[in-house]
Amino acid sequence: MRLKILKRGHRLLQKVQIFFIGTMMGYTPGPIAVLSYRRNFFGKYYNPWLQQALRGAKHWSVGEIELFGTFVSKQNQCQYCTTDHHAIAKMSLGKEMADAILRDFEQSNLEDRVKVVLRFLQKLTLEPHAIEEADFMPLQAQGITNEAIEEIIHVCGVFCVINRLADSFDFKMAPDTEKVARFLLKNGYAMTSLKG
Amino acid sequence: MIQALKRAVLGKGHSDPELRQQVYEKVSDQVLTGDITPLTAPALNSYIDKLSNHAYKILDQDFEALQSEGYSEDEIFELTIVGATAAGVTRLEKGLSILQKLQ
Repeated sequence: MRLKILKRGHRLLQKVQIFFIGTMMGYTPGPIAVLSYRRNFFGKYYNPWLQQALRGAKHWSVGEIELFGTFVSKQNQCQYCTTDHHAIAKMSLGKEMADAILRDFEQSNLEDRVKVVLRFLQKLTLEPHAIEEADFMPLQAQGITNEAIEEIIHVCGVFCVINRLADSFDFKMAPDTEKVARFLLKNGYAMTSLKG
Repeated sequence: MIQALKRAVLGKGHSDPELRQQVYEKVSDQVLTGDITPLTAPALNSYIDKLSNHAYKILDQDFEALQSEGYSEDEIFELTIVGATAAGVTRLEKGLSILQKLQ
């Protein structure tokens, strides 16, 4: 972590919680450090968006949402988020599907419905200025409803924030990715911004 | 939810609110047009360009450059949060605005 305030600047009650999380997970996850520090500035408001986008979707499974989050993180070349969310997607959907998005997904066996989403997310992540109505047509042609499209746009939004924070603040990689993935798959993200 | 997030990161803080507004607009403009509008402070401008376009290229030296220009850790924290928020929220708003036209 590049800023000392994100290692030592938390309130006393947050420090106690961070100590126990560190004991349990073997490290302090960067998102918890950032979303908890002066949480009225950011974490208190970003955390509900994160939880809603990743665990509140009605048209996609948790595994699919994690797959899309992994893909956005991969486009942004964020190793921290790609690694953790790929592990969650792998636990939910299996190795073949989760690994397919790390390579050339166009050559993979992913179903067309997923491929059109990945194409859309790729453009919204890397060329947002060029996104236009025509980019939504392949999604609709696959029978993906506007509500379902809205959900994937939110996934892109939350990851385009946290990917940048992970790389700029230099989040340390988890020593045990599987353990983190199991925890996040079971508990979601509601506890990422610690009160105190 | 999103409006509350924007109000928070552009509201009360340790850094100059006008500077945070400029950072937000710079990143947001880049998302919408692809154009880069320079900030007057060179180290901050270079850092925000990286944050907006390829955050994975940010190095310790970028933070050292900001600190040598007098930015405190809390100011760097806030300006980073603002830039990252602009990158995510502007993509969200653009995507949702096009979707709304299709309904």
